[in-house]
Amino acid sequence: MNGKLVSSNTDQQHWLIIRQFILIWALLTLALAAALWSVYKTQEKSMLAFIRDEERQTIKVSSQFVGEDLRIVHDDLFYLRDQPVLYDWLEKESPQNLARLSADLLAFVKYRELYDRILFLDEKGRERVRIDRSQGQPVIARARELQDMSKLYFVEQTLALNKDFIYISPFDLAIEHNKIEQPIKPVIRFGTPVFDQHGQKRGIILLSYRGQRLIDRLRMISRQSVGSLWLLNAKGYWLIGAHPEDEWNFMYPERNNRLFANDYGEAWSSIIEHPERLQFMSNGGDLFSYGEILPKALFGDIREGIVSGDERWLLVARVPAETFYAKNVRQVRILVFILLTVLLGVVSWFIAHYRIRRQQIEEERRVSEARFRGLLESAPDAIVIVNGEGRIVLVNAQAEKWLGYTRGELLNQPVELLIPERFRIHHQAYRQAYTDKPVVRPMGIGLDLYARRKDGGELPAEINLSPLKIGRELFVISIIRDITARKQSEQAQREAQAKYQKLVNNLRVGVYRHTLASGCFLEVNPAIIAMFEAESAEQLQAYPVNDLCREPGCWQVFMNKIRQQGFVDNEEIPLVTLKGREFSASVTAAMKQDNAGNTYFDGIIEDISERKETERRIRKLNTALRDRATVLESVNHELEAFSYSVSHDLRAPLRAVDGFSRILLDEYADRLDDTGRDRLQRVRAAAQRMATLIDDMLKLSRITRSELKREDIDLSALAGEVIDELRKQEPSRTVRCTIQSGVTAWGDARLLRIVLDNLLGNAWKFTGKRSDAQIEFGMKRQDDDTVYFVRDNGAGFDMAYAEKLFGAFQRLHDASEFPGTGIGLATAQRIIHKHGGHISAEGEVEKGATFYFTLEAREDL
Amino acid sequence: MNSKVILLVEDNPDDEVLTLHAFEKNNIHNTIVVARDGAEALDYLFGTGGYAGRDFRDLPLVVLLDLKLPKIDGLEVLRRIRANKETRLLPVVLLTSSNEEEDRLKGYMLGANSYVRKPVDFDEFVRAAGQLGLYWILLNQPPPHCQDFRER
Repeated sequence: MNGKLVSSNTDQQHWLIIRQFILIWALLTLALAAALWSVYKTQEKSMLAFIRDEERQTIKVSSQFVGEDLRIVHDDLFYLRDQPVLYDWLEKESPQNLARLSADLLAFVKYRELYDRILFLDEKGRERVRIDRSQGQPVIARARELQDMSKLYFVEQTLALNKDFIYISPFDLAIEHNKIEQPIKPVIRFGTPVFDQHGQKRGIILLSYRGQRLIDRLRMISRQSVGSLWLLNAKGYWLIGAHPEDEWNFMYPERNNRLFANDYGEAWSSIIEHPERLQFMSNGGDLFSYGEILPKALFGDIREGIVSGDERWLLVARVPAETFYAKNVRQVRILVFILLTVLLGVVSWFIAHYRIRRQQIEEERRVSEARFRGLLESAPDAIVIVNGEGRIVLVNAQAEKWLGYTRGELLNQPVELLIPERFRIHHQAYRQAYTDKPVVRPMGIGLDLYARRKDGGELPAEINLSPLKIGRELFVISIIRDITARKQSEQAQREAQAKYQKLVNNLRVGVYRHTLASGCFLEVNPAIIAMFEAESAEQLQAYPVNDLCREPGCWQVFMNKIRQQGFVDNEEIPLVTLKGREFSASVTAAMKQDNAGNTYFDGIIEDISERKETERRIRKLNTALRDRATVLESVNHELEAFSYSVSHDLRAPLRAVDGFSRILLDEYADRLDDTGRDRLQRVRAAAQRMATLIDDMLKLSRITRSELKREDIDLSALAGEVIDELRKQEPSRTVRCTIQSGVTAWGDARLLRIVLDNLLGNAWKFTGKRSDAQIEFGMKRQDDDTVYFVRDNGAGFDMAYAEKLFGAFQRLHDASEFPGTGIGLATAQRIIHKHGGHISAEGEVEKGATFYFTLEAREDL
Repeated sequence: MNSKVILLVEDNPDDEVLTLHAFEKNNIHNTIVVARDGAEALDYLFGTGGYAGRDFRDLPLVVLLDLKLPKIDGLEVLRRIRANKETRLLPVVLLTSSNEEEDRLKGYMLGANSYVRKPVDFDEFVRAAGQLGLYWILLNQPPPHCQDFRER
């Protein structure tokens, strides 16, 4: 595997991991978001419930506190009304009694920190005793400081009450000299009429309850609760509010339009319309908890005896929506979400990585298993795996095929099913033995093994066993190889061997195998036994080969030669038979090595005595032939010299004969009669004729000797030239000549010209007696050969003499009729033969003749 | 007519007679010196042997040389003529019975001025001899040194 593949694989893996990671992360993030959302919702819900509870509790506690604090006022009021000192003073308005009353009241105010002022007014509404708290200390007002307070609404109200009735003023601010006292002093006035022992209404007692104390306490509670605790009067003005300017607005005409209902209309409606609900959640998410304090109900079941300026007071606690969805909480949540998301990211990455790795490992395992399966199934051998109990647990396709069982039929069957019955008994013991010593080894070494097929047939097999330990169990892998083919090939080999043995035995030449170690023949065939005239193979094989050689050491020399060359062909060695007959042998040997590395020599020995005799004769004949050839050569030379001298020496006498005959005729004519002159003329003619004969003969011999200079020739043109020359020589003749155009040949131009000279010349000559003479030259194809022909309609010839036509000096016509030496056609034939062709003629007397010739085709075509 | 010598190298007495007869028939009356073999011809030309003392500068007008000669054959005679400074320009006509191409080729290669075949027909022979004489004696202009010598 190269680097590129690896990297691409890794890339691919990375992508897979990233995809997985993104998927997992997205899912986990969604889940986280959902979980967080639900947690936050629950949290909010429970927080809301908690706050609701808390707020409800706050209202309750506040309300209780107010009730408890004010309940004392009732007791105080009646205590002060009923004390004896007061009655004493009422009986007798003496200064002593007044002093005692004042001192008593002073002490009361001093230790009861609930009140700012205690007043005793007479029935006319005039102050009679007044204790003020000034800078925290109670002070008895002097007589001159006492005022007429009959016009004040709460005095009027109280004076109008019956016995045991209590008047409770509205919760408002103290007013001094018609002005709101500064700093403001919240106050609730409690009053009750005072009757003397005679049942006479004598005045009223007024207690100014320190409102600030109540306010402080409520503020304290507010501070400890989640929301802000407010106190409203029945009209909806703040007594305790979020800001000082919101409070006591009903006291200030310029701002008495500022009411709780203005700001929180919905909440106000709920408070007024559904006081029992105690809580209200506005659309804006603000939580309002509320409760009312009824002044009339303050003192238990004496509700009828109470006259109150305020119908009720309202305790309202507001928890703004922001409390539930505080900004920092949201930020924390987002942060938590982000952190968890990041954490999930890391986790996702690990999961993705792990998953992909696992997938990959799974895939690898699958591939490996598939490969194993493939290997198993594609194995050329049958594979059977057997477990410790000897049952088949796995087989491959080849096993199915060879054994004829299907997989299902074999699985979980005892392996003995596959063992031929005659071996089954022992097999279990063998199997046990193998289990005891499990090693990779062939089964049944040295035995012919067979596997039993389903059809009962047996499969010659070679079986290899390998142990396979999986866990604690030992499996045995049997690899079964079908050796039918091998068995067959062994048989075939044996047969072939027998065949070759037979061949060697039948050979008429001696065949042997020889080793240096023994110095004897290892193997011999019958022919060699007969050759050495031995009684038996054993006798010959026991005989040292050295002693079979006629010349001592000859066999050693032969062996050395083989070792140098590896082989020796047809070495002639003189040998002697066991019975002492000498003969010549041709010995061939090749050096070989067997598997063990031992050198041996294989070869043949042939008795060549007869052949040698024949060769001797042939050599003799050859020598004779060579001698004869030499003689022929010199004869040829002589012939050449002869023909040369003929041309000179035979002509000179002829010239003398002719010349002197001529001189005689010229210069001695007067001394000769006509007969003498005629005879001399004949002498001359004969001499000249002989000269022509000599010339023609020389020409013929020259052709024989000359070398061919072949080229492409336009025979048509050549024939045309010949005809032209013939016409020039005899312009008077009318001959119709037809020359086929484009006839070409490959040959010696000069010689072929001679052929055409002769053939066309003959045609011309032998048509001499015809007025409608016709000569035709052309060419035709016949059996792949080009056949040229010269045809005429002249004298022709008798086919009986056709063979004689081409002989030298042979003539079929009278020389007086058609002159000629009879050498022309012989010359033509010689030229044609020299061109590797042949020439023939057809003819009929007086009907004309046709001469055919062929030429050897161009070699390179 | 004049005394210009023609050297005829011919071993065959018949041919000699016929040749002389042919010249006579053609009215060629130059002195014909006949050498009967190659050696004699060379002796004549170089003033050696039987012709010792002859002025070798007195060259014949033309040499009629047969090829087949006793002792030294015609081609060798021709070669020696051409090899000698004095005779290398001497006109030599090969007059022979041979019609062998090889002879003709060798003759010309050795510097023969002409090659004439002796016809067997005496009439033709006479005609040939006449034309030969006419050409070489009357028509042909010999090389300069021969002329110089002749005038002197």
